[in-house]
Amino acid sequence: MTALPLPSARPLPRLPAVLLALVLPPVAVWLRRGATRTAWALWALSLAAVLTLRFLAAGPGILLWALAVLAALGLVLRAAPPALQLAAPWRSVVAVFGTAALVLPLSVLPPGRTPSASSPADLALVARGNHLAEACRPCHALSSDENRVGPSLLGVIGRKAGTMPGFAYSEGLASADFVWEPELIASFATDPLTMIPGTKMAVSPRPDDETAAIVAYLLSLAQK
Amino acid sequence: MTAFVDARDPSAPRILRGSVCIVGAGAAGITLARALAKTRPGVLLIESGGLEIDGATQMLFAGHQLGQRYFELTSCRLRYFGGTTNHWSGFCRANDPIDYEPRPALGLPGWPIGHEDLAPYIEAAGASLGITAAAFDPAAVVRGRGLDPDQLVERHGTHLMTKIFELAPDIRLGQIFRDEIATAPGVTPVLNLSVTKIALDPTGTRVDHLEARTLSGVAHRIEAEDYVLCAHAIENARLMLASDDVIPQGVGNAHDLVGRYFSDHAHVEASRFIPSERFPALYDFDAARRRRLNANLSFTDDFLREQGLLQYYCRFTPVYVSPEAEAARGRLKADLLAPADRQLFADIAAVMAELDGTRRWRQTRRSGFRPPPVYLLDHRIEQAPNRDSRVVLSQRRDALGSRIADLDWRVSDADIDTIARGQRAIGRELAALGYGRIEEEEITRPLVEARVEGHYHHIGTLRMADRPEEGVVDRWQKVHGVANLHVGGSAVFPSAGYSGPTMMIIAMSLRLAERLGGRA
Repeated sequence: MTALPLPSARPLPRLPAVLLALVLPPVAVWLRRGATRTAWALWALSLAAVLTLRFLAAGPGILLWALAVLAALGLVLRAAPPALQLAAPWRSVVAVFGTAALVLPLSVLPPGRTPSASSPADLALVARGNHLAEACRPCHALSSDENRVGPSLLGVIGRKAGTMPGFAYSEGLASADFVWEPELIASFATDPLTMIPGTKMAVSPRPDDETAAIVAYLLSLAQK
Repeated sequence: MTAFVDARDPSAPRILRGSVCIVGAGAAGITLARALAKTRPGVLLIESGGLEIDGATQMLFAGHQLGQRYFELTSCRLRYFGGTTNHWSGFCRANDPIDYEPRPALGLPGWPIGHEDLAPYIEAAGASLGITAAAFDPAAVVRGRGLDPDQLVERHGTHLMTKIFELAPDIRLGQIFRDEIATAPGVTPVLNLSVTKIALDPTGTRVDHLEARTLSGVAHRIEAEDYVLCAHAIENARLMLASDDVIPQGVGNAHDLVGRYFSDHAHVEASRFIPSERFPALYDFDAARRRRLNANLSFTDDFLREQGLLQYYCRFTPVYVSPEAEAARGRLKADLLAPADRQLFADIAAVMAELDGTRRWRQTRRSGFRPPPVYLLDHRIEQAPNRDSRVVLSQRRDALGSRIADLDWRVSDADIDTIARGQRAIGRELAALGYGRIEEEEITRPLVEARVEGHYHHIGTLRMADRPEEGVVDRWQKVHGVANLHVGGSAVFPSAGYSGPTMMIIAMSLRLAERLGGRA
């Protein structure tokens, strides 16, 4: 069996970044009261840098990030009260670097996340599985929870075996005590009668790579 | 009063005797048993499976695919009481008059019986499925579903014609007739008993008895005056080929026809159609389906004859918003909150590009039909009968020790040609009506082989013809050269025609029942 694509588990540390964006502007105001303009400008630049890094690593989302940078820029440019305004040369520096902080990351953005972050090979496997799953469709609903000759396969991976409500399972599956993991589904879909004697399910012999594609497809359904 | 006999039961009789033995309790067998129960009591209805699906019994179907990939052979037909009607969708339509005609240039042999021979039985079959005769008058149907019959293309002077499939309400024959079969005095239904051999008498001209086994290993013998194989197109052929002890080529196979000419209604998705605002809702697959209507664009019989085309029809699947744009819209909120990436911009662009389709979809839902920006075309044809498209008996054996039937499905050049010229003609005719324009993909053999699928219509293998050199059964579905063996089901169709086969199967079983019951 070839390896199956698993959902990419990239954590999203959204909350700290949001707090950062909300807390920093008031801190800036407090800093400004006792700080020189040079210190203030340096802070503004470091804020932009921190936000940029934050954004690139595991940003708060482009919306919040853009708002935070714009707020920082606005604070030191036109929108800020007169007491917070910078002298002309610093204003230019902040404007240039701030804009760069906003724009530069866009040019180095990662291309995308799951599902589009999956490799083209995974997507091709899922597409092939969708095509091969024609073998399942006469008896199983794949996109609804309707039971037909066989139980619905929507979300079957991760479901406890023999528990689709409303389906009259064979004795073997009704009393089964396991959860459908990809490997188990694959072996059931290859030779159901050996795995669960007395099952209602039957399949013609099929190469392992085709079974893997069908399982990848079932898995992609479970993720939607 | 009888009840179901379970052949695995130790007390079940090992020798079964009756008037007519029917092998297989699907659409053909159940219909025949119900009808014969009244006219020729003593009917044995032998079913390989039980009242519910069973994996081990289905595995008796586990053949290999030798040619063009067909459906999974263990799931595209069902081997338990009710047969394949247990997953039938219920689409019904009778053959068109042209379907019975011989058209030698296309290899269509013609049927030895015609539209008039079958018409009364088709009407009765429709009624048994809950369909009235009016269901096949397009104008009446269209009006009944709240659409203007003036949308029918045939009213606008073209070569096009609307062909409607009616969705039958009463389609699970195994459930509907279970009690009737169990309690009919004239029928003994036997479950879990698979016929493994047709035993001919030494002259080879009569069936002497049938051999049958249970999966638990108990052998049975079945004796009757008449035998009817209703076990499915591939399985009927398998049984006849595998019964090769008296006649080496197999029963009824003197002319090497058994198992040949397997066909289905093939369909291929290809090309797109850009509709104008005038495109009628009637031919929009989804808009029609919301009205429980299945209307398809096809050609008049005259046009088919003149152009030398097989039966062809085209389904228009609307795409208001592409699945990609649909998915992009679903991702937008997450895009804005998740770690930033270029996906956001790609998704915004994808959604913006299809705003027109979104607007059209909203209007269609709220205030009536507006055509989508594009239709995907699904071309559906009857296959030209092809000698090489066939059931092949393998040397592998199933759990009962019977040789397994493999399938060598073929797509012929005539099939591909009808799709190619059919799509061109549809495009031309619709453009002339001002309904839009087609964006053609070139229909090539590789394209067809990559995309073709069937309709679960297993047709041919024991086709009907008056001469034994041309067909396996005669016009009364009796096997040529064997006095007391008949065949039911779509195996005997000489060509696929336009029909949805199940209603035709039921109609032909009603006709056969009259013959075997002594009335026709």
